[in-house]
Order: sequence, then structure tokens, then C-alpha cells
Amino acid sequence: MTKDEIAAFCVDQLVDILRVPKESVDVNTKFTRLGLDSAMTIYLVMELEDKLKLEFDHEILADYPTITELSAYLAEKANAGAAGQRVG
Amino acid sequence: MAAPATLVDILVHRAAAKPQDRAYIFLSDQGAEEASLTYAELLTRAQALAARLAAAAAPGERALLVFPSGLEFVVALFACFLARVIAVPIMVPRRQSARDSSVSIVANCAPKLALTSAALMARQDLVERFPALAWMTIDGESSDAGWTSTAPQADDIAFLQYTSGSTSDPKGVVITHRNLMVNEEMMRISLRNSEHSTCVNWIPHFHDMGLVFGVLHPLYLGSTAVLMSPNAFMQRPHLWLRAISQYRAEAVAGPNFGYDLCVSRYRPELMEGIDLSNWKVACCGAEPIRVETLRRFAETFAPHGFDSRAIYPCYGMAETTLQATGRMRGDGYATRNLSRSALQTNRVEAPRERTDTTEIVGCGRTVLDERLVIVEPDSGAQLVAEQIGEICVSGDTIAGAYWRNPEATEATLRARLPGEDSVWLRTGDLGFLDESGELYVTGRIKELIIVRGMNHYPQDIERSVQAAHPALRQNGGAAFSVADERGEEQLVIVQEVERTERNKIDPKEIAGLIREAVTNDHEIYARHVVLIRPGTLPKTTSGKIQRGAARTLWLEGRLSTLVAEAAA
Repeated sequence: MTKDEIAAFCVDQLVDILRVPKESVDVNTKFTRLGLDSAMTIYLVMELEDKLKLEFDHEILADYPTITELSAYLAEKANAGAAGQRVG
Repeated sequence: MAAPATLVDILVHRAAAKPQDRAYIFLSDQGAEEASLTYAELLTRAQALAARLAAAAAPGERALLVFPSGLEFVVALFACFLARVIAVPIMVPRRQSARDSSVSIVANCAPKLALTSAALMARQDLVERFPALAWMTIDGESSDAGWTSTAPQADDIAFLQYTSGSTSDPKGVVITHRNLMVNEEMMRISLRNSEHSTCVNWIPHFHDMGLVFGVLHPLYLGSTAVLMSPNAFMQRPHLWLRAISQYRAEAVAGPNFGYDLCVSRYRPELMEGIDLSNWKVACCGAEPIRVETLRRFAETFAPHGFDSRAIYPCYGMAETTLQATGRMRGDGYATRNLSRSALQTNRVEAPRERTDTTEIVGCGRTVLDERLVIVEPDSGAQLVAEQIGEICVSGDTIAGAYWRNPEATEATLRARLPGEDSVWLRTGDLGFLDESGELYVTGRIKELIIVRGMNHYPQDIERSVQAAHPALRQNGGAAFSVADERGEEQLVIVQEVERTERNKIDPKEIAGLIREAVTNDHEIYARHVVLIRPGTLPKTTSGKIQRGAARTLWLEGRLSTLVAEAAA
């Protein structure tokens, strides 16, 4: 997946998790500012793991705190590494 | 053996009769068996720790228990029971969070010391947070120290359960060994459990359901407790289901959201080899129960052997030790179709039309000698079947006190009702009984927000909101919950903005700051953040915030908002 596809996937997931309209999920707003609690964070990370067939550290959102940063990082990892590689 | 008076009597008996039986198993976050304790090992380790504990604290003094889920917590708890030191289990304070209740709990219960694991002790912030506390780490007790002290008695206090009261004014529910034994027996009878009833638990040990059911119920039965961390469950709920299958567990418990999570994270490929046909009781409690959740869970897992009759909605709280009502194993559950609009004004009526229908789940009946009545909240007068009022409970399973809080004790735990000699727990919950005595919970009077089985008090959340930005007026906010379209409880924040700041602020940014502060301090998502003009929040003449009135205004769209709701 490309960076933009991953970002779009994150937006869709957050719309579902936070139950807000799509336009209110800004890709440059920090996850903490969106109000994501730890259960929601786990949910988002698990969905990304499923989608990308990768495993990450569950603290990954602390290091890549916006959709833009996270998707750029994940796109790089997904394309560089074989499936199942541990990243983050 | 003579009839056991406490869980210690049971442990001592089991350790002698079946020393090699496994009492506790702890699973790693990947679901592998990480550690276990036989009954004999548990007794030996608890006695060794009790000897150290007794040298540091006298019977009746308090010991804070600061542990993640695991077997060390169990050893520490039984060491406290043996030494007759009152255990106070608390949530491990999060590193970043300054605004949790641990400081106020310490101030209220004045512990002689705190027990923790070496791993947590290595985290310096615990010591920094409580510089005056004496810490004792519990790793490595193995030698039998020849513990011979007096066994605890039924009326000794076993632990304090701090799930009531706000962060600044926490209330410690005093649970005696008698309370525990009565409640464990109630659950054994209604769940028809036996020494073969293995339980698998992911609920935190400091939570009443995690402690009284997950940790202590299997020991009461003499069966095996399989424990896993809440995080392991949140990440991979199928590991819980796998453990239920692998250990042939009969009885488990969890809040409504846990059953929802199993369904939403369901993947057929993850279920390979999981057989749920031995699962006899799936208790659902600790937060409002939704019939859709129960149905979806049963449908999803029926192909894997799950029997829908195992679903067991129940009602209870820390003040009732744990369970107050439930049915009998295998009886399934009752539901009622009621008029939504009539329920909003606390009346039980048939729906007027399809769109006016709401389906609610029965929480069973009382067990043993316990009594439950519905009263008119103001007068305390008892109501008859099919009338909604405050749920009041009486019996040996009701805690006798809040720790060092005589006012709350008299008002809530030892309330008097007209024409009744006994003392009653006023639950603050609203509900009704049907003609058969089945309890239906319909709402609550107390200002409590329950999200994912955890209790939150509005004043704590409001304090976090008002600390988030200087433009947010002190004592000018209300936090409350509403049921959303799926019937889930959602947090709403209504907050006044200072007059002078009104035109300077970016509402979207402020809403973000509020959400961030609330999540950081309380671990809940503020779904709706509404900024309003100063002086428009409903208050009493004495300045007390009227959260109920604010909630009504918000629901009716009649608040004087600064901008259309700041969505993010």
C-alpha cells in the first residue's frame, strides 16, 4: 500500500472508531488531540496490523503521532520488509 | 473440615487435601502459559510473605496492593488475609497521569506500606509519587517461614474496594470475609459451580468483578483460575476464547463491551481449534447490558459450540461485594419490549409504536437471604411490581461501611426505609421488578458515567476540562453521558467559555485540547464537546451545576452554543 492509501485507511478507521464525520479527521492532528483512548489506540493498531500483515509495537502512535507521520513510516516499512517482519 | 469461615480456611484445607491441584495459571499476552501456582505453593508463598508483612504492619493496618494482573497479586492478597492486614488493591498509576485517584486513596486509607513487584519498583515514578510510603517488593518468597499466627475471622476486613466516589473524594467499600463468603456462596449456587468450574478472567484485579469473581471465586470453589491481562484481551480477545476452550472453563464474567469486542474482532481463521461447548456461564455485568450485544455474541459463536443459554446477565456493584441479582445457570435471560418515551419519564408501559420500542434485558433475581426492593427515591416508600424507582438491597452481602466516611456510610449503605427494621443499600440505580421478581435496570439517579465497566465521576472530568485552557470557565462545565444510536454510553462535555476569550479562541483547537485532557486523565473519549456562552449552564441558586438539566437541554438542542458542535 502507498502512503496515501494507508492514510485513507486510517481516516476510515478513525471515522468508525471515533464515530465522527470524515471531514473532522484531520491527517495532521495528533491522535491524542482526536481523543483516542488506549482501547481505541489498540483497535486502530490491530486493524493496521491486519491490513498490512505486519506486527508493530503497540506504542507506535507515540512515535508517529499523526496520520501523516504514521502512514509515511508504515508505507516505507511495508514496502521495505517482508510480511510478518516486526517493525516499530 | 469445619465449615470454612474465610477464604483462608478454604486455602489451608485445599493445600492439605489437594496440594498439587493448580489454583492459578497466568497467561502471557500471546496466550501461552507463563506461570502457575498449586494450592500448596500459593499457601507457602503467602505464608512467607505474611511473615514479612506481619513484621511491618499490625492486623487492621492497610497495605496498598500495586500490581499488574498476575500471580504476584494473588500471593500478596492472601498474605494480607493471613496477616489480617487490610488489602487495598489499586490500579497501577499511569506514568504520565497526575490526575488519578491514587493519591486521594492513600490519604483516605493511610496505608502502613505498599506491596508491589520488583518490576514495578524499578519504575522510579511510583516512589516519587508517594515519597512517604514504605514499599515492599514481593519477589522470591519460597521458604516456609513457619507461619502460625491467628487465622482471620469472618468479621475481619478483607479488603477495601475503591471503585466509588470521585478522584478527590474516593470511597473505600469495606469488604469483610463474611461479605465475601456470602457473595461467593450466592454465586456458587446461582451459577451451579463446583470444584470443576475453571474460570478464565481478563478483568483487572482491582475491579470488583475481576477480584471477587475472577480471582477469588475459583479459589472459593476449589477449582482453577486462569488469569490474563486486560491488555492481552483488548488486543486479542480470541485468546480469552481460546483459553476458555483449552482449559475447558465453565464460568467466566465480563462487561458488555468485552462481548462486543469479541464479535467486532471475530475472524473465522482465528477460531481454529476453539470449541466453546463446555462453556456453561457467561456472566455479563458491571455496566448496562444491551440485548443486541448478547444476541450478536450468541449468533457469532454458536458455530463454535457456544450455547446461548450460557448468557447470564447480572447486576451488582462493589457495595454488594459483587453479585446482587442473577438467574440460575442455563436459564438464559429475559427481555422486555417497553415504550422508550414512557421510560424517559420512569414509567413502564407497552410501546405505542414500533419506533417507540426499546428492548431491555432482565438481570435476574436475588439469591439466598438477600432482599431487594424498589422505592420512591424521595420518600423511600416501597413501590410495587412494574413501577420504576430506586433499587435498594439488604443482606449479609452488603458492605457495612465506607472506610472512614460515616456520612456516606449512613446515607448510602445503612439507609433506613419507612416500615423496615433493617438497613439498606441505596444503589442510586433506577429499575423495576416484574411480577416474578426479575430485576430490570432502567437508569440511574447518581451522577456516574460508566464506560467499559469503569466508573467515572463527572466532577473529575469537569476538572480536567477546565484545566485544559484558561478560556474555559472554572465551575462552568458539565460532563454527562447519553446513550447513542447503538445504545452505548457516550461522554458529552458542555463547557462555558469566558466572555473575554469568546472571540479569540479557535473552537476546534479547544475541543482538541479538551479531548486530549479527558483521555489523558480518565481514559475515555469525549464524543461530544459543546462550548457554550458564559452564564448559560444550568445551575441551582447556590451555584451547584445541574447536570441533569444540562443533559436535557443538550438532548433537545436548546443549549446556547458558541459554534455548531466542535467535532474534532
